[in-house]
Amino acid sequence: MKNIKVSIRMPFFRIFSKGFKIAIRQKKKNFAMIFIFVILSATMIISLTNLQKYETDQLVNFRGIVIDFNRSFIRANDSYDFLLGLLGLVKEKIRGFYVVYEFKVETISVITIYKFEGKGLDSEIPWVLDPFKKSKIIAGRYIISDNEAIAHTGFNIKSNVSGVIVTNYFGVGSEISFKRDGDVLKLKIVGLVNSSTEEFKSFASENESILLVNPKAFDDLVRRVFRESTTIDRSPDVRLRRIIITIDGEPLSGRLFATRNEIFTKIQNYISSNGIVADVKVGAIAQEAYFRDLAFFIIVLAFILVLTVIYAYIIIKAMHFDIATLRAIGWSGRDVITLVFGQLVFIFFVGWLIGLFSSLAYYAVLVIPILSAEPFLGSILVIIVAMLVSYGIIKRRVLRIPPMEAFRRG
Amino acid sequence: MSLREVADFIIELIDVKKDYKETSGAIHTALRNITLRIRRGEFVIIVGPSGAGKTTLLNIMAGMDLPTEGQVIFDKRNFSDLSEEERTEIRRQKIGFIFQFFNLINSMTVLENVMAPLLPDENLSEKEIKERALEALSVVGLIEKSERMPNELSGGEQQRVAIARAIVIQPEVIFADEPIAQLDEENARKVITILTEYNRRKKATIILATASRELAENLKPYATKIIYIDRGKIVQYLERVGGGWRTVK
Repeated sequence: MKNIKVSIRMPFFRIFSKGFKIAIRQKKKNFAMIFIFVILSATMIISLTNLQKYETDQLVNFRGIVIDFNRSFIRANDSYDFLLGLLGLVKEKIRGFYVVYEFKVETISVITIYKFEGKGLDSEIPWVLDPFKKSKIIAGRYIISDNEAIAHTGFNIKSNVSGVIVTNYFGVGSEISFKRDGDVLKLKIVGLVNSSTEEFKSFASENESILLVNPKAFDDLVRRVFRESTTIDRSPDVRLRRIIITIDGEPLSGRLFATRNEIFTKIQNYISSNGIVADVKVGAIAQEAYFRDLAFFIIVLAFILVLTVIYAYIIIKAMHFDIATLRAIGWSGRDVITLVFGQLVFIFFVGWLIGLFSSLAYYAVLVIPILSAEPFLGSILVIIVAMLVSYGIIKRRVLRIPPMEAFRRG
Repeated sequence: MSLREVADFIIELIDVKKDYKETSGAIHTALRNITLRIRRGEFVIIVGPSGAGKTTLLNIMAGMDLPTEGQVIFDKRNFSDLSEEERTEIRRQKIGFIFQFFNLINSMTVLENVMAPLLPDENLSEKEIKERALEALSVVGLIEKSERMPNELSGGEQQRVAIARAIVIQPEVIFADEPIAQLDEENARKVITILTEYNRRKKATIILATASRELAENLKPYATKIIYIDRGKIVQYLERVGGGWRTVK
């Protein structure tokens, strides 16, 4: 077998780090540029977060149609054919068909979000049920495995002890055991949401204590502990409380909004033709709002790229004779590019890093939860693109400065 | 010409012509019919008024520019047959430069400036580069100012740093373009002393361009060739022979 020799050119690192050093030394000169990058990086992260909300925190408002059954308790087994018919009507144009099922255990309502007939995306589940969505969590985290549950503030279990009602309150870390004969289901509360009782009423019974679990734990509870013989979507003891449909389609072209309206009308007709009393709501976010946020992001992106180009030109112009001198004394074009690029990378990197902390500070001050790292990763991607653009300009310009220019200084 | 003499040449220019296209489109001939041979260890002075073609000649001899016609042979290699990278490599290994306006990188310390020519060298560690730079600075008497920035130094000191940067690679040839034009008398003397000493001790070839006939006369005791050029042509070519001077042209 041949040995593959990987050699990293050491001079690259020392020249690159020299570029970093020069940028640090010239911090006063670079201050304005770093400051602008801080503002732009922070603004970019915030605008990316705004865009990301359309697929997370605002998903239901953006792509969703919600059907609530209010007080008309519908058993899962009774609703199965209704749901199949509805899914068949819309499935070509939707991303997800999520059903909220409820199973009552005394004073507790255990609920789950179920991808009906497997139609849906796991990534959408944490965002489709408003009172339990990820952004509503005030302590702990979202469910990531079986036997975990999310409760709400004030979640309690009442028990009768010698005629005295005892109320036990539960928080993050508490464990609840459902035991029947020899079968036990243990659920650990991993997150707490701060939603009001009113928000739960539309999809849970009058019970004041509601637990959200994943379908596996729900199935365990219904079929193993309570020995239900059918699947949960056909169980007579499981109740259908809400349907959330997310529409597929591209928002930029307006297709999403057209499809959303079309399906909304179809659903209304289908429900009334089946004689069911339900409240159907369509997402309120309009195309203009999405465009506004997208345009803002594009403007910030354009600013970053334009600034990158301008700064690359400025730095090359300022270093014109230095570049010529270095080339005269034997630096290759690649060596000079590395030095100049090192300076630019420092400015971008410091600007981005401070911008990142500024955006984190912004969210902390306004007490806005950070939903995911994606906007931050996205901002790195933008900075990498900006660096590549600047690299291209530097390469082009540096190679056009002949070493003999060194003699023309003065 | 004997074989031994041929082997001693570090630079040969054979019938070199250099044309430039001006912005108006007209062709300007900066050098014409330049033929000269420089042996290792020589001290060559190129004298000529401003615009005579001295700098163009240095550019051509150092491989920074190629002649329009003729050949430039550096250490037996024809520059016209080499790529830009190969010519750069030759400069990095064999040629030191001293510029009229010092050309120090103001964002680098004195030590970093002197280290600069060695930084792209794959065979040297940073420690070795630093040691060699400090050694070069000690030759020019500026070791104590190694951490200063160039703009904190006087003109004379800056030019001595530039000399340290030129000699740090232990070059075979040093090109000095008007090296003392910006200096006072005392500093000019120091710079000339360093260059002549370096030429004597290290047997390095020095090619010095100046507009000053007076400087050329003063340097005559050290020089082996004095070439007067005007309007791109060699108008007088003197070569030391034994204790006297021979007019080649």
